[in-house]
Amino acid sequence: MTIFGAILLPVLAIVAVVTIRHYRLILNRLFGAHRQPYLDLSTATWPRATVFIPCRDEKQIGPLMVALLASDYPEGLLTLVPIVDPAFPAAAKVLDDYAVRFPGKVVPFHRARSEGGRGGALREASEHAPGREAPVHLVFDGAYRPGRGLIKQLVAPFFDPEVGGAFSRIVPATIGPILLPRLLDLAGSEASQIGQQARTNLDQTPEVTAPVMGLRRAALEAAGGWSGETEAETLELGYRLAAGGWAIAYQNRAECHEVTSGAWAAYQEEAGRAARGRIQALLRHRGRAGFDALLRLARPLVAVVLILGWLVALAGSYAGDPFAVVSLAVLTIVLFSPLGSLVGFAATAAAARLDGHRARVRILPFQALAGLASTWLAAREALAQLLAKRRKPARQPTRAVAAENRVA
Amino acid sequence: MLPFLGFLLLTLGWGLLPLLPAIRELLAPQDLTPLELTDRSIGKISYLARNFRQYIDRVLPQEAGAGDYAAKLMDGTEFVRVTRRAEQLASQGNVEPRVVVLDAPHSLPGDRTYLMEVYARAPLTSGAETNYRAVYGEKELTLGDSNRVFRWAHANGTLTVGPHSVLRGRISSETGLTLGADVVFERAGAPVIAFGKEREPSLPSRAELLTWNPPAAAQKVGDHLRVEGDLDIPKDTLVPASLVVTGRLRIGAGSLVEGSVKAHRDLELSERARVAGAAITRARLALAEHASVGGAALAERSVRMGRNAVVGGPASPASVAGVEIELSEGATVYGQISARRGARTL
Amino acid sequence: MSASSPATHEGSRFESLRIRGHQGGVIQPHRSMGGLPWDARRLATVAGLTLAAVAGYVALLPGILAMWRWGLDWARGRLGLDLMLGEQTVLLPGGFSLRLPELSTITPQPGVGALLLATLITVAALGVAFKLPPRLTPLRYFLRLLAAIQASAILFFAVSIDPFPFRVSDYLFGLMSTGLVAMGITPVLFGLVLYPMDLVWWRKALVTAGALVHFAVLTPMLVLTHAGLLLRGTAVVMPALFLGFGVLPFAVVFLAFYGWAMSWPSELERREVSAPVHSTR
Repeated sequence: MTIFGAILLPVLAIVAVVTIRHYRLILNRLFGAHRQPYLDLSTATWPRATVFIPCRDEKQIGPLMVALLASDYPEGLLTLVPIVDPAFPAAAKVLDDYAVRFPGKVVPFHRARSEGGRGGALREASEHAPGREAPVHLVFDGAYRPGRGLIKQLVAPFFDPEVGGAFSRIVPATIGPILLPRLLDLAGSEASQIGQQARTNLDQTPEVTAPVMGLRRAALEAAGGWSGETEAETLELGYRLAAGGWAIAYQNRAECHEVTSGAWAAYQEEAGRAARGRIQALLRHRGRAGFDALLRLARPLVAVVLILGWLVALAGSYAGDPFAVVSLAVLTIVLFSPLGSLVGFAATAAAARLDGHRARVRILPFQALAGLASTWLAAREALAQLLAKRRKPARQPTRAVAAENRVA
Repeated sequence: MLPFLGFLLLTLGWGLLPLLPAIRELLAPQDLTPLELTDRSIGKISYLARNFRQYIDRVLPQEAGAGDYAAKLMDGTEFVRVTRRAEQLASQGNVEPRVVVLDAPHSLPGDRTYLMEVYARAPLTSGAETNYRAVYGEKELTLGDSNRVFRWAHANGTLTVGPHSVLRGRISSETGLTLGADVVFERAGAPVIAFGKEREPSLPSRAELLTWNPPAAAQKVGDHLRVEGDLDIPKDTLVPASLVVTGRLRIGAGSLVEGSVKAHRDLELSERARVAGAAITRARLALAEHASVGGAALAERSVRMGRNAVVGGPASPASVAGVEIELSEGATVYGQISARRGARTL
Repeated sequence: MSASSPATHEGSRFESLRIRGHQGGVIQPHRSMGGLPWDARRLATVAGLTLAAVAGYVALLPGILAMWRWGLDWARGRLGLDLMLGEQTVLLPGGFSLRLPELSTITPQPGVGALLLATLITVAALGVAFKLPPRLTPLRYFLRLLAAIQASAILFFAVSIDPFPFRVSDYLFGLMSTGLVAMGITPVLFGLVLYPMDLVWWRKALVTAGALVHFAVLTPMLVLTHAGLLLRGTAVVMPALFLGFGVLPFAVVFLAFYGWAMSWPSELERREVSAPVHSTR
């Protein structure tokens, strides 16, 4: 075996493992026994719950507050605690108005300083804000629009004493004719219907990838509270809870709308942040997470391996190595799948059909094109995170994003 | 050069041919609607019944004077209104194809099929072997022996179900639901649901119980104790904590767990045992005679409620859920029962 | 106890009442719960279609190769391509062999002029990639990938003392083989990701046939097109041509057929059957 073969064989093996595991998830979701154990828990003596909402954008916070205030959670048991940063006075004003109109129900928490990003804000609020003593904490972001029944659906799993965290499915509120939101909609379907639900069916720990989740206060305290040192605070906390023996419940039936800008710059920022957050969580939990969890956290590193493998295959091809040529062809195709899986497209299409969609699946070839961008972004940010000594969580939009938002 | 260029374009065209549907969908999308949140039905078994009630209020014409007559609702659906003579219903082959509105108390004859909704504004008693698509009672509703309901049944008063009946879909009452023997149903919701006479939970006296000593290997995780493997709690024991057991959990007769319990395998409550909080299992849940659960009783497989077993309480509604559920005489649930493949009273 | 036993099985007479909503449509389970039915019949369909498609491909392979031979011979002169048409026998396991058409010619090596032109075009492509508006981001990355591949080729020819390891004839043969592999693997891939879906069997057969026919025509067209581009562009364009416009078109075409098929109506909906919710036993 040549040196190229010795390097490329493990790379191809990784692709094979990722592909087989992904295919198993597809088959399970379509044909396997379905688990949503808390689905039918809708009549109960509901516990007190506090919703913490880190706030920046005064335009988004209003619609979120309206949606939360319309919740069918029993009156008197739900407190809304918007977390107000001094850097966003416009949002503070909007929230103070809500507090006046809904005294006792909306209780803004004003931070003295902006530190530690979103995780830092949640940490401070969960430790000092009014409502912190409620047995269930919920977290929402301004971009989300929960339905009336979502709070109950997020709280229901906490009747199970083993559950430390719970989260719902996120679906886009609007799609529109431009390409990116449509691709994200397809990717979101796949992540929820196949990724999360199949993992729940197979008794694997689902990943909390969205900023919306519910937490048992006792679990949060036992796990050490929110971290202000990661860019994927809910993801990292989810793994920390699992490592501490808590179960994470994914509620596929519970759906929350998300308002997205549809701008590529915003997507790239978010994808980069997600990749960095995964690596941060991987470094933190590499000693105690299970194999499946490690493989998922290492997904951006799979992108690095794919690109490096591709470069090795390219070099090997120039050296005339036939195995390298075949590997190069295979890896070129794999580069277009952001998950490093050769059946990513099938998962996307299957998920879309489960959602009752038909015609939108036709744009799969364009999703492949976008997959190349995702692979590169994930790899770049993962390497940057690994090589950086310390990276402060950045939750402010960059100039590029702001400019694109203005254009959009 | 020109022939080659032409061939190049031809190749490009042929290559792009299968992408035409994709390009068309990209440029002139036919499928752009985001997923609509459909969470309005959560929390209320009577959701469909309520919708019907609102619908009938909108479309039922305000008639001048009562009486028996047939007409059309404002949306064109045929209906028949009966104050006096119920025997006129289902006159053709014992099948009634119209929406039925009953203004006065009635006892409907048996062996009838109602293909559309039946709306009873007064107490209604149904004869044996009657089939309903759906029935709404503003007052008491009594379904006779071997009745069948296919979509939903609701009563604002008590809903009584005769033996050997099959109730698909949702059944609900704002007052109480009483089930006869050998009744099969899927989802039921009421302040109290009982097979036969309703019971209240029997609460063991703390003073008479011995405090439980957890096994040495039990681990404190946050607000509960985690036990690896199977666990048997002796009888007449007080457990002042919540438990998570990775194996089978058996709670001895007369024991009291003051928190909630979760078992990864079977969960059994012996006679008179009580869990004050929720009882959750990934396998089967069995409540023996007079056992009770104060909160939710959820199983990912089957639930068996023994004689006079109770879930919830008059002031603490709860849910029972499993793939299949069996209820023995006297089994009582304050709240809701959901069984994907069906629940049955024995 | 199973509630699907007599107590809840009303037979078809009232099944319509149970599963139909107020406006007559079949009520499906919520999207978060529904799955697809799986039984022996479906397994037989999946296996049967896969085996039939593979067997059909193998049976038609000599005819396809003969068509390719004829097409390549007919077109090469008319397109002004200086190519010799021969044959190469490929030995397969089990004692089988295939006689594949083989096009051969001298491999044009890039001179300084060709390298400079290639460099200019690569830089221009990169420039375009960076200048494209954000909504064309996927295209940006694709252009960058092509530019990276082309740059590696330019670098190789500029600095390497070893000869370029691939001849045009090897390349074209490899491209033709890629087409054969794509055709052979298509029914197997469909068997894994398309045939188990809730589509009527003849649609699955139709899309398989469509994809195979498309590949059968596309392959020789690609071979001739690439031959022409290589003869004009020299060997320096070979890597970018192979990866960007040789391997990827097969993958994209497969995706296009697959996506189109997956957009077709559900067989469950057509038969007005409710999707199953698979519960734990």
